Amino acid sequence: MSSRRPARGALVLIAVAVLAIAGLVVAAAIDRRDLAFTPGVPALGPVVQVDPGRVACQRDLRAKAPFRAVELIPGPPPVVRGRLAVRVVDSRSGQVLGRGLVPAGRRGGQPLRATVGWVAGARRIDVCIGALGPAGVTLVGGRAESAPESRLVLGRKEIEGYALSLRFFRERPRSVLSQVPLIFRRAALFRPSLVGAWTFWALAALIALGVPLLLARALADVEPR
Amino acid sequence: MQPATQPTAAVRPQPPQRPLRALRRRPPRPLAALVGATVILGFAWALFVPGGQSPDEPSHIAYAQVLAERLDVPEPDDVSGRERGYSREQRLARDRSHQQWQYAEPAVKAEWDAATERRWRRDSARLGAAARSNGGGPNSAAGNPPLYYAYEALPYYAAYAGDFFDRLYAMRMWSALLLAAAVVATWLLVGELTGGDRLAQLIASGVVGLQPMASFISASINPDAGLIPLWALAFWLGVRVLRGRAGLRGAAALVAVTAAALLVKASSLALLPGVAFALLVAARRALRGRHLGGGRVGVLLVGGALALAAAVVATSGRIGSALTFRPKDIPGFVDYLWQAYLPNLPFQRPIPHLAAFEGYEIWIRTGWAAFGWLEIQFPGTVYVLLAVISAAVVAAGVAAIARRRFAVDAAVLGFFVLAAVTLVAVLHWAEFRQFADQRQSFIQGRYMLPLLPLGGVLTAAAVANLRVRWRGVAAGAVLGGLLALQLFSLGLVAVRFYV
Repeated sequence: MSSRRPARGALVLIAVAVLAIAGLVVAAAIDRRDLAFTPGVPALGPVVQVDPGRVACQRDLRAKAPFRAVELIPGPPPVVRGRLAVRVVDSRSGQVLGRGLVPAGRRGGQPLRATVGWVAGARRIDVCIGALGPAGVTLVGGRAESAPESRLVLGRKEIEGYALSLRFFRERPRSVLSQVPLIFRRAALFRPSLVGAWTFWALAALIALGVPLLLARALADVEPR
Repeated sequence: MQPATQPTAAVRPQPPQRPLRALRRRPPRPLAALVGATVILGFAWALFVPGGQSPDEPSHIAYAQVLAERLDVPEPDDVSGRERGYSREQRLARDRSHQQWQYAEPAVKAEWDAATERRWRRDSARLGAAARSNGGGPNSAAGNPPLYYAYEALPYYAAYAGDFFDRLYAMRMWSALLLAAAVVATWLLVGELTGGDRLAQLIASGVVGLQPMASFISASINPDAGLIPLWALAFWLGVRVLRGRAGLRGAAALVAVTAAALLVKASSLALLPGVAFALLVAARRALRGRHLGGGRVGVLLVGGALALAAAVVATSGRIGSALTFRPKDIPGFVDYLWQAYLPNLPFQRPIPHLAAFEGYEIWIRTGWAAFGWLEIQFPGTVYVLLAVISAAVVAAGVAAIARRRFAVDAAVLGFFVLAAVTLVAVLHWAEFRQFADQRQSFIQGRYMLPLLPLGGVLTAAAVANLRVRWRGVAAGAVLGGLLALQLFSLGLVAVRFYV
C-alpha cells in the first residue's frame, strides 16, 4: 500500500477550476442581452439637424438579423423637445417594415430605443427618423467610413462623410450562454483561412478540461506528500 | 514533523549545475505541463481577440510589416501623418473588419457580417504586391528599437503566401510563445534560488504563465511581450553570475540578454544598473577567490560595457529626450510621485490629467486585467480584491525572505531591487517629463510586466511561510485562482466583442 497522501493541492486546483467554470456558466446564463446587430458607427457627435416636418434616413443598411427595436441618440441635451417618428423601410421595394415613436421630453444625448415591431433580417433597410415637432432634433453619429455601403440623407440631400449611430435589438433578450455558438461564429470572421467556429470550440474544450488537468498534473508531481 | 524550511520538492533537490543542458535532455514534467497550459491559453487569447484590439497593435503591426517587407523602420511619429504609416493592405483589412471604430469604444461592435468578410477577401486578393510595402510613414511605435519586430518577421515570412489576417494571427501566436519562454526562464530562476525546489518553481512560473494581462499582451503584437522573457532570463543569469556559477560564458550571456532587452524596448535601460551591479560584484568575488584571472575579468567587463553601450546608443537614439535628467526637476518629480501614489496635501497643486491614485491604476487595474484598448475591465470590486491579495502576497513574500524561510542572499536581493526600483523610477520619470511637455499620462500596467518573474518569486516565497503540508494546497489555490481569472477575462472579451 502506498504511503503517499493524496495530492491535496491538485484537488484544490481542480475544485477551484470547476467552481470557476460553473461560475462562468451561471454568469453567462444570467447575463441576458438583446443586441441583434449594429452597423458599428461610433457616437462622435451630432451629424444632422432634423427640423420639424423633415426626415433623415440612413439608407442601405444591411439587416443581418431580425430585430424589434432601433436605438438612436437624439439631442440636443439636456432634453429632446421634439417627438420623433422612426420608420424602417425595405431599401429595394420601399415597403414599410416597421414603425415606432419616440415621445418628447427624453434626455438628450442618450441612447433611446424606438420599438418598431418585428422586422425580418437578411435584407437591406432604410431607417428614417422624422421630426414631428414642436422642436427640431439633432441625431448623433460618426464618420461614414464606418458604414461604407450606407448613405445618410436629409430629405433628398446627402450628408456626405457621416452616418447615424444606430443599434438594432431583438424581440427578447437572450442569455450570453445561449449565444455561445453565435459568439464563436462571429469570432471566426476576419481570421486565418483555417480558423472557424470549430477552432473556438476546440480551444474552449482545451481550456476547460486540458488546462486544469495539465496544471493539476504538474502540481501533483511536485507537491510535498 | 518536517521543519517549515525544508525544501518541498517530492523529488530530492538537485543543484542545477548545467540547467540548460538538463532541460535539453528532458524537460521536467511539471514544467512541460505548465508550458503546455501557457501555450493553450496564449493561443486562445491570440485567436479570440479581434485584430488590432490591443493597445497600439495597429502601429506595431505596421512596424513589423515595413521591417519585413523593406528591411526598414517607420518614420518618427507625427499624429497628422499616421495614416501613411499603414500599408494599403493593412488599411483595407482594418476598415473592412471595422477595427478602428471599436478602439476603446465599448458600445461599438463590428458588423459580424460574413458578406463583409467575403468582400474584403475579394478586394484584398486584387491588391498588388506593393500594397504590403507602401506603409512606413509616421508611426507611434517608431521610437521602439527593431528586435521584437524582427522576431515577428519570422512568422510574417512563414505565412507570406496567406492574406493579411493569416500573417497577423501567425505573428500573434508566435508572440504568445514568448510567455512560454518566460515561464521556462522563471523556472530556471527559482531553481537557481532554491536549489531546485520544484513546488516553488511551479508556483513562480505559474504566476508568470497564468497572469491574464501577461497572456493578453504576449498574445498581441506588442514589444512588451518580448520584455517578459528577456527580463526573466536576465534575472536568472544575473543570479547565476552573482553566485559564481555562470563563468565567463554566463556573464557574456547576461550581457547579451540585456543588450537584446535594450533592442526590444527603451525601458530596458532600467536593467543596466542591476546588471552592472551583478557583473561588478561577481568580478570582485572572482578576483578575490582567484577563480578567474584579472585579464579575463577585465576583457569581460570592458567587452560587456562596450556591448551594452552600443545597445544603449541604438536604443536611446530613438527615444528623444524622454529620459533627459535635470537636477532642478527633482522637487517637481517628488511632487508628481506623491500625487501618483498618495492623496494630495493641502498645499499641493494638482497635476492636470494625472489620475487620482494612479499607482492603483498602474499596478492593479491595468496591471492585472484591462483588455482591448484597456476598455474591457472587471467591476471595481474585483480590483479591490486583487489589490488586497497582491499586497498580502508581497508582504508575506518579503516576510519569508526576511525570516530566511525563502533564502535570497543580499547581493541577489540587491540585484532584484535595483532592477525593479530602476524600472519603476525610469517609467515614472518618463511620465513626469511627458506631463511637463504634453500634459498626458503615459504609464500603463503592462510596462511593469517585466517584473512579473519577481512577482512569481515573491508568491513562491509567500507560500514558503506555510507549513510544508499546506504548501501544496496554497499552490493549488494560487494556480486555480489565476486560471479562474483567465476564464473570466476571456468571458469579458467575448461579451465586449461578440455579443
